[in-house]
Amino acid sequence: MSIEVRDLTHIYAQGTVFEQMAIEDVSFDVGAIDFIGVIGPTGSGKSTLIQHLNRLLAPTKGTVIVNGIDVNSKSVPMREICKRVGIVFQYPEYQLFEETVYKDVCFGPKNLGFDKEKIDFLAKESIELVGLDFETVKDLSPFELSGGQKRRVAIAGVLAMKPQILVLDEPASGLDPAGRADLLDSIQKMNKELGICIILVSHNMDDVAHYCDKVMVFSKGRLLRYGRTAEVFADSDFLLSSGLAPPQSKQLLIELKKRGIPVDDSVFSIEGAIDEILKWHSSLAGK
Amino acid sequence: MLQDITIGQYYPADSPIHALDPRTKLKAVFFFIFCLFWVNNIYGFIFAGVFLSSVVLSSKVPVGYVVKGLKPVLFVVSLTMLMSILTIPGDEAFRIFVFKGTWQGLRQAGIMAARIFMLISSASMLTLATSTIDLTDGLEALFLKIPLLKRFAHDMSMMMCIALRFIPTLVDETDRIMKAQMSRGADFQSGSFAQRAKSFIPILVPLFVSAFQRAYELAMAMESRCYTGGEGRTRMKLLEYTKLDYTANVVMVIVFCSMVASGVLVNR
Repeated sequence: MSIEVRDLTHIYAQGTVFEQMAIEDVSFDVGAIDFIGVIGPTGSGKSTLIQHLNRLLAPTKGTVIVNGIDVNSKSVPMREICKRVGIVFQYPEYQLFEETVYKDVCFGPKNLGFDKEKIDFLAKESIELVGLDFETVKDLSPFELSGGQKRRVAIAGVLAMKPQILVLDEPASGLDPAGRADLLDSIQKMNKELGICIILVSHNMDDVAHYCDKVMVFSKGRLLRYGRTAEVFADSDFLLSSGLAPPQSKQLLIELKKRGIPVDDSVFSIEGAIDEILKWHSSLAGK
Repeated sequence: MLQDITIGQYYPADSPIHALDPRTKLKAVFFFIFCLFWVNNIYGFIFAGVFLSSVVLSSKVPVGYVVKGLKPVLFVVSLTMLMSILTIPGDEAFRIFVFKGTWQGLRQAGIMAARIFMLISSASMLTLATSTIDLTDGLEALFLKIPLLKRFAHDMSMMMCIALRFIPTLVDETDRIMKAQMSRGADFQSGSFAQRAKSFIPILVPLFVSAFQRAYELAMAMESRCYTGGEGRTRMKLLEYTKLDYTANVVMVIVFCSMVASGVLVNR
């Protein structure tokens, strides 16, 4: 197991009028090379949860163990945690500050105290990993890049620290459809080829259905369900009742079935939906 | 992390202090600060202290909030206290190596600390118990009474309104950027003073970039809704004095007169 979370509870501004229960008694395990989607309506505690994974927030109650180390133990320096867990926040392009892309990407590994050659290697590797050409972008100012490129540079800045677990909060929001697919494809590559455990927080059910092996569903600070993507997305009543819409392809199948067309509405991927519709179509042609 | 910043923060509660007209509160803070600089003996500070603490208590704002607001000035106050204890000439009170502390210096340091702490507390009390909208309405109404400022009354209050409005936003923003940089292994706590100052560059640059971005967007949004300044604007909410304000005025006159009188009479 790479992440073990036990009875995690977080209360904001405890003891004031602003007191607010953000997450309550959450427990789960994450495997070393999992690709996990975290879904839930706004305010369900997703962002609060991920900030516990690298000690940005201290739990009100409960423990977080990452690769065998207790994240909240005082004897573990922050640096050791950063080496294990990389977090890419929403709109990460707002964290860029250096004069050049190269320098900005080096900020993380430099803080971790790597030597110069390693930093150089990691910067190059991670810039290529996010799908940018190292030689073209390295000397540009991050502020003269396009929105999508900035996003990639910011993600490269976290990747350059070689985390074993990469947490991304809405990495594709605000990108155009092509940019979106490109970025998520490169994230999938990191998971499949480099064996990095990915935790993807997203509002986009289609993305989660397409890329993630497992899904966590949060609502009102509680972990309602955690299982294989197919199992979670098969239950559309459950999704709707927790304030989430099923993926679009699944919505289509549900509507078709409602109108008396014999398709299997437990399918949730685009490819599966196409198969179902073709099957129905050929059965019509057969008649 | 940045939850300690209370200046400009509003604490909603149902209390007589919250219910007062913002103009009354603004005047109160202004005259209170004025009187604080007049007072220079223990009796005056007792009057001021009792007045301030009864305001804090009746406002239902937790005392901790007001005290937390003092934290940022603690360092400056201690430094100035130390300076005045050691440099003001007079009768020796104590001696450490070559440094001589004087009674006069101690007295001056005490007065100064009391003044600054009460000044900050009264100002943060104003913002804690007054919503930003009320506050700017009150400011605008008061500016309109001052001949020199009359022309700029609306612009000034609008600027202040925006500034106050953006304090919590920028605090959130700073918090977000800090967290993002900490996730990249940035360390703001350890190292020498110069190192620590340098470690804030990764926060300041993105913060400035986004502040300018926000200013630009807000200007666009205001312009696209045909904002042209204060001329001809009417208001939905009119400020009106109530019985509570008249009562407060009477209390204030008594307290401020006693503060000033204590200064005049005792020193004679």
